[in-house]
Amino acid sequence: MKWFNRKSNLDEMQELQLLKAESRGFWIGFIGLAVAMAVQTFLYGAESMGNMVSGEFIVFLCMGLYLIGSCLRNGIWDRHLKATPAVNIGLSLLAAAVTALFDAILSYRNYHDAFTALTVFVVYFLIISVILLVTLTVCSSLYRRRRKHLEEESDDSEPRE
Amino acid sequence: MKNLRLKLARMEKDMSQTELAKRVGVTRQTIGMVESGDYNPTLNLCIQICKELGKTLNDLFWEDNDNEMV
Repeated sequence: MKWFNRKSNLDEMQELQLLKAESRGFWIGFIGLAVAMAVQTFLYGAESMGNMVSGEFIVFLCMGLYLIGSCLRNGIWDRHLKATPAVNIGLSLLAAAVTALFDAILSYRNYHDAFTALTVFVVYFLIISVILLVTLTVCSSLYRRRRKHLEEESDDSEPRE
Repeated sequence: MKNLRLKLARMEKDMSQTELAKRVGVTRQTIGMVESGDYNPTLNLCIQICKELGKTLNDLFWEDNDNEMV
């Protein structure tokens, strides 16, 4: 195969630019999938989650799980945020509020009942914030253990690729 | 921050960006970006460039108050 070269055609600067382009492409895809699922769910109702957007949801889930797995394996948490309980609580509440608000709007659109929408908001907010807080706490604990392990091993062994 | 010392060393050797790039195995664009300060090369590339231009890392890449890059 003459058109395929096992050795990279790129130099280090081009490699870096390609990585940046791929990274941006990943985030466009990730956020795009989330927006597409939200719009489809809003337009066609919550039942569309079960059939219309299941493909998108599986891809979205795989992207997220791969990113979390890779970051934890390499002892990376975030560029700007620290893995502290206060940050985890803040993020859980924020994400739960956004998700619960979306579900409350969907509920109001379907049933035209403010009390039901408010109940949906409160219940979803509580459930999602607890699930997220537990997930973030477990992940940050795994991250700290991995970080500690990498710090200890880097003293007397070759660094990982 | 522009690396004028690299540019001067290259010109002293009467070498074009394309020629230097070919010798160290990168593109001309990369050498241009190193000279203009838009790209920080890896240590390996710095060493390759120094070898080709007959200079040390200190001559071309070290930066302090007395030896400041423009």
